[in-house]
Amino acid sequence: MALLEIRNLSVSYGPVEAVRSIDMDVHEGCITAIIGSNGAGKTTIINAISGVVRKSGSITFSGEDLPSRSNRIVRKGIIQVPEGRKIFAGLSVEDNLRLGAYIRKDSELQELLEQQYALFPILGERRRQDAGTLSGGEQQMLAISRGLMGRPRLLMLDEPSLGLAPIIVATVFETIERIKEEGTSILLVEQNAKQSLSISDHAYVLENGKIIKEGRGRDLLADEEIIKAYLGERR
Amino acid sequence: MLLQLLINGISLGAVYALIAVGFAIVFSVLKFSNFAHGGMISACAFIGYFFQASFESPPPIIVTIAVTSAAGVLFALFLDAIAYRSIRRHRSPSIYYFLASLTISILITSLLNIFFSKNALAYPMLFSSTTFDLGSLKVSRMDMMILAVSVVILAALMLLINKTKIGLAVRAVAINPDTSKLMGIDSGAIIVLIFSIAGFLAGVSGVLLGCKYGVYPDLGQTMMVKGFIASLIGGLGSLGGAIAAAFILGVIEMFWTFGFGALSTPVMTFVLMLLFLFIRPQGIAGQFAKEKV
Repeated sequence: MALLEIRNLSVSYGPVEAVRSIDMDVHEGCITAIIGSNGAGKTTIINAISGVVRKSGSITFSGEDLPSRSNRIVRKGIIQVPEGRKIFAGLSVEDNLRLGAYIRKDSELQELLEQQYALFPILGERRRQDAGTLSGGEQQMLAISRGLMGRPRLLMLDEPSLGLAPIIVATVFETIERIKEEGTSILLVEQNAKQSLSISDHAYVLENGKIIKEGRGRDLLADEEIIKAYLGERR
Repeated sequence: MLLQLLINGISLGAVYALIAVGFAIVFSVLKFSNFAHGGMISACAFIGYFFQASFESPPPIIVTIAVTSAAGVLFALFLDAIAYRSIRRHRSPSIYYFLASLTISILITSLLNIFFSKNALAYPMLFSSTTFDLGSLKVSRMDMMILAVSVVILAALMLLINKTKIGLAVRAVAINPDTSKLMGIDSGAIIVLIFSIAGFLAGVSGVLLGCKYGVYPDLGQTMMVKGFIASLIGGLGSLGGAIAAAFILGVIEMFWTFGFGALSTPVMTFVLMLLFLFIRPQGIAGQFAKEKV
């Protein structure tokens, strides 16, 4: 049994069907990637899992149906790091992290903070600073770190490399691999197909709301069609 | 004389601060001006009056304040259930909140007008002597009681918002309710909490204003304008700014009234508000114009 099992998932925005009867599995301890171009429905899938958009079909987590309200889903251990980072500007870095630990007990807070400052030293240095003053890369680190503060079983990352300089993008992907090694399962949504396929155990290719291909990340990297459509013809 | 005016001004500012904070806390989270607050204050002033008057020998004022603020919370929860909840469920824009709150305020005041005359009802005498001497100053016991109650409640509220986990959740929902849900925060429950706090503050200010000015249907509306102006000068949505501006407004009004008479005071107040809107629309705290990214 997979950790997260999605069966026959559809999501519509009014008359527009953004995701059409999708089946998908996310396995424990793995990085699962969803790649696809803008508007393919990647974010919609993540939002359906998080309970942010209304859906039809079933999603089970460790064999259990998910609750319908998003704040309850978070308590089940599925945490989303949203697209565009969505850090709380106006609050300090540390307050952002505390919010990530909102579902944890107060007694765990100090230990969780220390773990995160060890993982992201820059956040420790800037703990008192307004989170809105961080650079884009730092904000992405903060968003990921904030997600980890809730001790997720499944961490969902929506376009973590969007709008970041290439050197920062590399750091972000290294961080994602490190999180996986520490035992957190990951669902990664990305336009950056090359990088995400190379770190993922399994990947789905999404086009116009449908899965057109799936397989091991490594295999998809070598797939002729994928190379043409997402990686550029010459490599 | 100067000191006397200053003391009176600060005590006036304390009531304004209670109203302004009730206003600002709703604005900070829901981004609309909750004009129902005025109606709530009037209703609470009456509730407090009748509670106080139902006893042969009136209970300590603090009991009346506690009972009335509890009634204010229940009243706020009732309004949330009949008006605001469906706005939230349909994810309607804030203008609907604004219209609903304006309607409620007028409705409450009109209802009160049916049952009560425009003549003010006076709370039973709270103190055997109205003033005490502090050196050469005559200090009103009533004003000091109002100041003390307001300061305690404002301090408790600021601690709640700035130092507790639930307060942090309130600040997060104020910045972004959708992202807050992704933290596991029940944004809907936080909004209900905010309305409850506003109801509580309406209860406290209703009793205090009733004591000071007497109880009449338009009491809340009249005073709410001052609270609104203070919260605007303070920077809409900023609690600290609203409190600071309320005290400043109270003191300025007191001095103006002394120098130029009470008739022109409201004119001065509104001109001050206009000046702020022109010169510093983000208010003292400067958060209004800061669109969160």
